[in-house]
Amino acid sequence: MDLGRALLEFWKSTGLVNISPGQVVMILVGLVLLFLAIKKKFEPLLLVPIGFGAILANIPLAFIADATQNGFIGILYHSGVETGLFPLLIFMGVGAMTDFGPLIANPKTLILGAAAQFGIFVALLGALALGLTPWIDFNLFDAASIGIIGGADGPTAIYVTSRLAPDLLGPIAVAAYSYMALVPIIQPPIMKLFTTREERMIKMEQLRHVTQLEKILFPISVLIVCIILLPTATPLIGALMFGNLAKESGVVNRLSDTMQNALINIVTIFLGLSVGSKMQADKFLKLETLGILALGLVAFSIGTMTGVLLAKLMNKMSKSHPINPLIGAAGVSAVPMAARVANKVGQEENPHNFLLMHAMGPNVAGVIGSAVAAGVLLAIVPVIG
Amino acid sequence: MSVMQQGLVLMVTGMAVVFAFLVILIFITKLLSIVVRKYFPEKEVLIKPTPPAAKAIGSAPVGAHDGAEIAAAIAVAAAYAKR
Repeated sequence: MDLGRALLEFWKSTGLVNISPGQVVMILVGLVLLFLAIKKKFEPLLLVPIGFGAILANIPLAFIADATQNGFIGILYHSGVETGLFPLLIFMGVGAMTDFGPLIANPKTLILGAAAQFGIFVALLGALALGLTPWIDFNLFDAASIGIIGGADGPTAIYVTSRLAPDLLGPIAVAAYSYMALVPIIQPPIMKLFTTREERMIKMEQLRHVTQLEKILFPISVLIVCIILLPTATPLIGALMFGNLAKESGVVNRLSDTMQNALINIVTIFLGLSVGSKMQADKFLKLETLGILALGLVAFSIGTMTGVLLAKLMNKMSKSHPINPLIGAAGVSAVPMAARVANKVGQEENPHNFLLMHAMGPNVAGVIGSAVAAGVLLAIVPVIG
Repeated sequence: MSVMQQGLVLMVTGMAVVFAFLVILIFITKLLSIVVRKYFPEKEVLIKPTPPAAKAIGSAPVGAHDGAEIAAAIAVAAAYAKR
């Protein structure tokens, strides 16, 4: 083999020759995500791994995202995302970080976590309607996975999508996580639109102290209800409540500490890279992706709206225990961002009104609510779809 | 059944189950609290401040309220020190 031939073979194996225009676009998208994470500080814990994963997955000849070629992200995706393992491990950590105290102190706020799930089903219908057009092809499985973006819960969205429509994981995960990062921008205009100034100024009563025994019994009771009514939601609810019991029981602090720090961090790295790796040019640069991004926004907005409206209604019905309608918006989950937003919008009207604790109730109820909605979709869609 | 009909069926059953589930949880939580507080009250009746809410999942940016809270805490501490 002469030198010229060797050089030619080398030239043929460079990225410059092999890269496709789509891959260039997706690498640029990855760089934009990194910019948003590093410079703008948008959910950096998620966007740094997702952005970098997107870049790695679009490198020609390296097959990093291909499990059949033993690409390392491909293996992570295959073993952790396709199986639904990573979202459940994340949920354990979320459970270990969640304090259900505000919810136990004011249980009626649970219902706000239900109202805010309406966005899921509106987006589901929207996706089905889009599927009837000649340009976009969404079936019931796809529509259910797109709707669950409205649960405002990244792990739940990924879990449901991995079960129902694994092909759409990339755009759905990206939509779910980017809208979670955009909660402070999306929610306030909707919250203000549906409330009056007086309502936003409403002060709520101080929450009572919740005993440790109540906090220990709560996760167990939720799990039992779930076992009885909706076993398809028990992987999500079970992981969440296991993490929470580890925290509240106070006897396994080492385990609880691992779940809320080391374990969730490791899984976040794996999950982020895996999700990013699904942003491959041939799968991502489609009309469907635009549809998913638009429907995700619809789901989020409608969920915020119905949450606020139900809170308004509850406030009208109970004169003795006023409810600030802003806390209804926190029912979409997106813990704890949505609760912070409710608090912030309230303080714009009255700087001495601290709604954060009150908003945490609907906020964690929203996590349970989206997991239950996920369970319903997982139970019914495969049967009627 | 058309696709849109299937979607509507999902919407109705979905919202009904979610509401039913959480309403049941409301009753169970209330019952739990009544039983626990009646038969297993905590021995120390110290007035504790409300426990802090769920820690930030991931690293949410520090909200604007933190400044106000810290300012309030400093004011209390200052008033206390003067006494």
